[in-house]
Amino acid sequence: MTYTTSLENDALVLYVRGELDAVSVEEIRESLDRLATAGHRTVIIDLSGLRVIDSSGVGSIVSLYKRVRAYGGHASVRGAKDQPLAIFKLLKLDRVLAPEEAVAA
Amino acid sequence: MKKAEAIHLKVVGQLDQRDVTLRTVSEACRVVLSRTARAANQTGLLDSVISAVGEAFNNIAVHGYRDEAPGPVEIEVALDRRGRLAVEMRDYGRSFDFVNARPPDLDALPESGMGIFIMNKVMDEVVYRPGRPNVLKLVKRLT
Repeated sequence: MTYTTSLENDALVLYVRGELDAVSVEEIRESLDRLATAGHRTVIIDLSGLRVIDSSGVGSIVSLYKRVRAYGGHASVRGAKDQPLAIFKLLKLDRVLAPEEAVAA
Repeated sequence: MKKAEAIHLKVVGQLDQRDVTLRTVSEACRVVLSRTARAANQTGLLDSVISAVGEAFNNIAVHGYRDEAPGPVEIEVALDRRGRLAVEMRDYGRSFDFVNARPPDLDALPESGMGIFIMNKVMDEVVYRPGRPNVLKLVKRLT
């Protein structure tokens, strides 16, 4: 798993690639904590390069979403596909985390 | 498919073996499926199997062998008598309470406790027999 961040049109974009699972979640935990306390108005989690996700990975994204929302920010997911997208849909998270993409689908 | 044509794997039930286990199981599924007339267009099926096997492996590594040194996870990939893809996982750790596992409240945006729910949702049949070994059977119809 690799991850990078960038600022795009005032949004903080977190790119996660590879696998976000019970193992790699530990590698990204500190960065997610920092992101959740940085106070960005808009946080986008780009999963277009994510190949596999498990329930631990989903939990980390949901946690970030809730923490950003708690301080009045907006967090969303974009670009999820294949197995990760299937898991988000199964957990009914596509409409919560990626509402624009869920409507377009 | 004859039992002899099943593919058998043995991995160590610890988390850092998760990725190599899933890649190997995925490839074993492809090999088993390649022997059928419906080998094409099974990407969704493979995604489902990886989701379920991944959650099961996590449970074994994190909970099953929690109180002891990581033990083996024996995996068999085959087609069952009804032509469905069947993945059987055996471990020798602490049994899981499958029966009393509560489904997550999805409206509450849970951050944990979704593993068994995912397994049951993506597979057509999930059977768990606690014991020594614990035996988990995951079955998926071909598309």
